[in-house]
Amino acid sequence: MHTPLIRLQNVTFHYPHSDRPALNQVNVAIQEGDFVLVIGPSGAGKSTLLRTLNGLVPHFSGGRIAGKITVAGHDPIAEGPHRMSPIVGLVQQDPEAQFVVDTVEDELAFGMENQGLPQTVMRKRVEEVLDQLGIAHLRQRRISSLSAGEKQRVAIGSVLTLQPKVLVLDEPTSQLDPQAAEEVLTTLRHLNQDLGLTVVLSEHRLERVVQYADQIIYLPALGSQPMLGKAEEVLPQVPFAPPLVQLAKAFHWQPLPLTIKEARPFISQMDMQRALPRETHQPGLRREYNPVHVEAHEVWFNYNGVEALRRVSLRAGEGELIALMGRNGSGKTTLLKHLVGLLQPKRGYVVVHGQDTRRTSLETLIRYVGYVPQDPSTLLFADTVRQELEFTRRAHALSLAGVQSWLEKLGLTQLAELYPRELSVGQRQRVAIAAILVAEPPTLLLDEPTRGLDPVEKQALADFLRAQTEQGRTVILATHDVELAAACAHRVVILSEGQVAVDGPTREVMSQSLVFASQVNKLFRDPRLLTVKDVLEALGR
Amino acid sequence: MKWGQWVNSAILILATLTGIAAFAYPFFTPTTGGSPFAIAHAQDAPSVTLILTLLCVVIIVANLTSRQMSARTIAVLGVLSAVNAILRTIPGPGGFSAIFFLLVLCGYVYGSTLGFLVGVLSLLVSALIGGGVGPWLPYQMFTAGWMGLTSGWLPDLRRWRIAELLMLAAWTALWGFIFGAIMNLWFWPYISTAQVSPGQAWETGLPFREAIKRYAVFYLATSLWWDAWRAAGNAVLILSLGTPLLKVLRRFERVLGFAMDTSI
Amino acid sequence: MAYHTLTWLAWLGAAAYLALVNQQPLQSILLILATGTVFAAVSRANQPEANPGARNASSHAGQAWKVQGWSAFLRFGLSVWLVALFFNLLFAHAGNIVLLVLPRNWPFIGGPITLEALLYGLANGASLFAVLLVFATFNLGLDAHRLLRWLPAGLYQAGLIVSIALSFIPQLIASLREIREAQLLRGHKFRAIRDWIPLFVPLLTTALERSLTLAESMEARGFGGIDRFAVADSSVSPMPTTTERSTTNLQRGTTLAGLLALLVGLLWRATDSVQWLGLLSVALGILLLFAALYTQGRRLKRTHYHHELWQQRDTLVSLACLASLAITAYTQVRDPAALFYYPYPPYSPWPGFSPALGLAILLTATPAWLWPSLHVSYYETDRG
Repeated sequence: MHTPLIRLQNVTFHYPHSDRPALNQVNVAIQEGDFVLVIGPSGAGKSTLLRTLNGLVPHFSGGRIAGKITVAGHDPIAEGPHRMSPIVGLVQQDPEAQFVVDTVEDELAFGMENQGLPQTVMRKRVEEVLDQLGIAHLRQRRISSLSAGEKQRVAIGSVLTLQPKVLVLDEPTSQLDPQAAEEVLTTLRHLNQDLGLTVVLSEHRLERVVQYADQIIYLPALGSQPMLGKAEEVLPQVPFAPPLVQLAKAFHWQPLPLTIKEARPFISQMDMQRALPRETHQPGLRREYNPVHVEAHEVWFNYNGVEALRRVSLRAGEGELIALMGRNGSGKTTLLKHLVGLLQPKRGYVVVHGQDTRRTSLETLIRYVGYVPQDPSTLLFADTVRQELEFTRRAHALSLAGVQSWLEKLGLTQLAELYPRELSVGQRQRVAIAAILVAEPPTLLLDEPTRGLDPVEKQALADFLRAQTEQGRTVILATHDVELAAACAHRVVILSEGQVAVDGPTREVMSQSLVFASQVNKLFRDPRLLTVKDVLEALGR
Repeated sequence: MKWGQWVNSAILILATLTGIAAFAYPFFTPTTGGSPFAIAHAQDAPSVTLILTLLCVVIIVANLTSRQMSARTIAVLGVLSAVNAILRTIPGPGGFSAIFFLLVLCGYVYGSTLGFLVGVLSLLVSALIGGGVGPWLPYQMFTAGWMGLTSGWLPDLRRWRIAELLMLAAWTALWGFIFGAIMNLWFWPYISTAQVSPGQAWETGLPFREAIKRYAVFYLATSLWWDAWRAAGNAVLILSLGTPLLKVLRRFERVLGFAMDTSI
Repeated sequence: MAYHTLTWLAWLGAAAYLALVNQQPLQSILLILATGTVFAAVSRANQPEANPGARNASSHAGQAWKVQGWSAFLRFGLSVWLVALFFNLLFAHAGNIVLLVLPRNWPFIGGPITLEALLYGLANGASLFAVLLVFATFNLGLDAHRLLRWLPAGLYQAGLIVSIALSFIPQLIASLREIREAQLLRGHKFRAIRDWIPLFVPLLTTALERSLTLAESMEARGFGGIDRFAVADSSVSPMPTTTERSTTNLQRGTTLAGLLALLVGLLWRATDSVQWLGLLSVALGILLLFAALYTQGRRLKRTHYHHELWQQRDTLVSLACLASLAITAYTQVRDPAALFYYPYPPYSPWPGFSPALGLAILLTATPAWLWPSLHVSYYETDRG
């Protein structure tokens, strides 16, 4: 083994005004040219670890640091982010907030201007980076007009022009839809494999990247020792594994398969057909949910000359959980906004709990329908979590009695007196859901509830929503997340260009689709098997 | 470093005096009736005041930003200017534009230097996005800058919540009027030049006192009511939104860790 | 915008100078017509269908507000014109040709209302309208980001702040809308001013949170030297070198001297006596201040990536604008009466017209004449 490119030795770090260490005696070694995946629950210190590599921690964050860090022969603790910038490039999570100027080309040049490079060098590097990332067609565009995936690629480009030895990315895809995330991950793979760039990436979508990782760093919780090693070594020991790895773990498949292709040979040995009951009729496959609470009938809607919804019909009954899926811009959010009465159909009608949205005030409608927006920070503004819930109760002219029980139901009792905006993504999401559900609406709508959630939080969300439907609540969620839909939805509705393309029971829709199918289903191609739990139950485990 | 701070203060004071002299330029119409000088003066009044005011603003800004600022300060200034510019475009509940209250709060919490820069730059930004670049812009920038700057001089009353709010509200209302009065200056020359006072045969210029008196009439007639409405509106905004917004700004004060000069 | 930023600034210089110094109504009207043609050309080019780059441009929030067109401007300009007219008509009671007499005991407005006052009000209104139109046209054709790149080195950081603010505004508008919707759906009602708290607090918090992300992203790309916040925690020295300090002191000295010269000159000029000395002092002051602005910030080692295409029509328009400026300046020195309008006795109430100034005014219309055909826009040529 050669000397590693990056080495952290006994690194301990405290944020200012904090007694708990964010990193505690951390030791990490990364070889040049490696593709490293950093995983762990949100709030475990992944961002902190990544930021020590270019000196943002401690130079930007403040706080106390001990131990030794070496990156390509430099010491980021002594040199600081300014002098580390040509060595380590950092890309952040939020595609909206990392741009300084207005056009793509100028943004790519910003770092080089700071370095004082001559214009000829800058031109050459901008051209190279535009080609490497395949974004040459965007060069004159205003950044505000780009899609989120394009923005992230521009953000990658803007650090690549400094020709760093290491590219560090902090959950670069957590705010993106699957297509955009795929674009970004493909780009990273290309940079790593074709150009030999060392990539350190923190990521929740393991099923997409795990097969390319040379090394995985697992951070279990704030301040605890990370676990390092190859995917095959680390994954079986962490609760974060993608469904495929969970199956492999359950059935002791060796070597550990990381892709569907690698897993196929194992399932041919399993006799699933005999294990599964003959009866294809499963409870809940074709069930009628009555009474119907939400009905959209042949809804048409357009804005700015774009046909956003074209003759969309949807019915949701009591206790039903529907997942709205489809590409970005297919009309999912527009449809949700119709169901709560924020938008009104140009033609057709929407009736929720017996009220026609065209003739009922928003004030009345929201007593029946709750809407959790995509970004919880649009909702949260109070000083404590409890106040946040109380605010909603007051807005609905309800007594404050129900607040405590909702804090308990969403596991927020410990956090009740904390400032909501300083919580982790998953906790904030729960506060947002609580702040809506505390008004007790019989129907709940959620727009992309899984952004930025780690797999454990996602599973908890699925269980929670399922439990809500069992108590008679109707839930409709717009999501890109196939695994979430597989885990909890009764019915999947796929929208395409403002029209309903598919509408059917989850098992039926998923087993007939290649794109909108869970990993387990892709492996078995059987409507009875969507999740790991399905397989284990079928085999009586 | 002490010496440098003195020079900085001297630059600020001189630039401000020059700015005020430029503001007052229209009032100093020479009384030598009908002479070519009077004519020349009358003509160059709008352009001289315009250019000099702009220059003074630019000098102060350049001086305040002459040292390398941290990325944090730059980013937060950009963001606060954008928020303030956006607030200006939202018509407040009564139709007035809410431009002063956040500016006063920023100056009060984050200090004079930041207050001046937010004032100047947010008006510039709002002019650039709203198509509002015009001869009035230097005056707006200058006045808003000073509004932010002087807000940093207010005593920190965070322990007396009510007194703090009342002070800020009164302060905002006061500045609302000053802002209005200065804003009208840019087109005052178009109305004042070479006017004659009643009963007199003719006279090109007006004595200083008479000019001020006329300006007061002009101000009363054209914009006092509007200014009063706006000043009151912004004061009400402070009273009703001040406490939570101050809390937000203070929460970030620690995180942002400004190490800005407190020399002015 | 079809022209180079510097060309556009040259046009503003020529047209605004004319508009600000000229009081002669006939010339004002000619200037309004000339600027009007430029306004029309710019607003036609800003039309989405005429501009292949518009799909990108229109998503930029700044552009959306600029598409207001004639009617909005006309309403504003005419109302200002009317204010100027009535103020003069009612308050200036000089002149020989009396139209009607208001009772003397009415405060301020009592007295004769004269034709001269009417004419003077109209003329002043016209020059005011011309000023407004010139700036409205400038705004319409302005690309703020491109303008910022031409700021002197001493204003680099201020320019960067403005650039960040401009890029941030579209996001801010989007969050404002999202927050409003989210709070409405939560049951909140926006009635009294206090009800704005759930709108403003998340807006400001989100904005400040984003500023932190942005600052990290800037530092990670090598912006700035040493963050003084960090210095408390580490041993890196932020002290400037001796040469740095002496250049800073030199710049500060220059700035101070310039300001002093400016102030002295201004006061001098205001209190008549020897006029040209005051003017000289003002000019010296301006010169010194510009020197300080352009040398300041030189010590920051930075380079500039961007270039803007300078085309032949830029040369032509710039030359025309410079010629126009020269004519106006010459007229102001040699024949100030050609710019000055004073209808009260003993002068004639009838406006005059100077052919030289007429030429200067017509020259400011060159951007409209040389406007490239609409299908070859800036965006296309620059891309190709």
